[in-house]
Amino acid sequence: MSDEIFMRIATVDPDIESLIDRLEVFFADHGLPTALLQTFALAFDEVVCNIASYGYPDNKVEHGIDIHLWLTPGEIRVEVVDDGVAFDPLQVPEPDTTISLDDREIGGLGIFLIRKLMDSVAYQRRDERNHLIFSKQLPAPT
Amino acid sequence: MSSPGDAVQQIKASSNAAFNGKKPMNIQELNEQSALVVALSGRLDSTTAKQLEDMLPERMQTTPQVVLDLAEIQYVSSAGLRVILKAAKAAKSAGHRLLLAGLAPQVQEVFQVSGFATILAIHSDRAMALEALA
Repeated sequence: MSDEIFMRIATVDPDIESLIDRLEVFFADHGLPTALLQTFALAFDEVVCNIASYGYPDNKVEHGIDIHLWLTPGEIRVEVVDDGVAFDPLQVPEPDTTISLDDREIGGLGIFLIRKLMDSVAYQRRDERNHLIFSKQLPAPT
Repeated sequence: MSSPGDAVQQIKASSNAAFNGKKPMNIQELNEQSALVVALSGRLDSTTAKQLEDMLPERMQTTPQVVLDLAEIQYVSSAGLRVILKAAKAAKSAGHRLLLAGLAPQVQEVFQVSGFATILAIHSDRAMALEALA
């Protein structure tokens, strides 16, 4: 059984559903906690949506988003690589989560959620590509 | 650069094509006591948010009391939060009530972190929400 997933997703009409289907199988095969699966599913939905919507302003040519997820002894790590415009999500200001219902907007919330729910998030621009690396620790075995 | 959260808006129109008959989220509506219960199952994310957006804000304009039961929802991403926010705003402007119920721990965490837990009425399960309306 492989301890990693490689997947390439189109930037036009990205098939996030299939990605999360595959994630579900991987988590089940490795006996990983369901709550952790849902956190990673959320992160993939946010990341792929953002890249597909903002990464390619020309939007004429089909590009791919490369997703690599792997297990280490203590954690699950993910690297997402795209060749869209440079975008460092760690520079996005945090939304104000304390304002009232009437004034609440949703912008920036997806990235904020990833930063809050993951244990680590790192960004690098390398070889004209965005590399977003995030991880979450596995619960200690009982 | 425009705000990343708007991604949802732009992507949702195209994501409907990906359904191919298989539904990653189901919506069930039923009348219980004096409320309309909208029970969701599956994933509430960028792929499925449009389904909820097509009905819930509209229901909030016409229905005085709605319970949104999320007990069978696995996760809610910002695309789903956006639709719930839209419905809550519609409820408020109509003077109607929207109650949420049955959030799984990882869903509850998302509502806490985003601050939604403080601006929405959240109950532990459907029965508690209906009781709060009675």
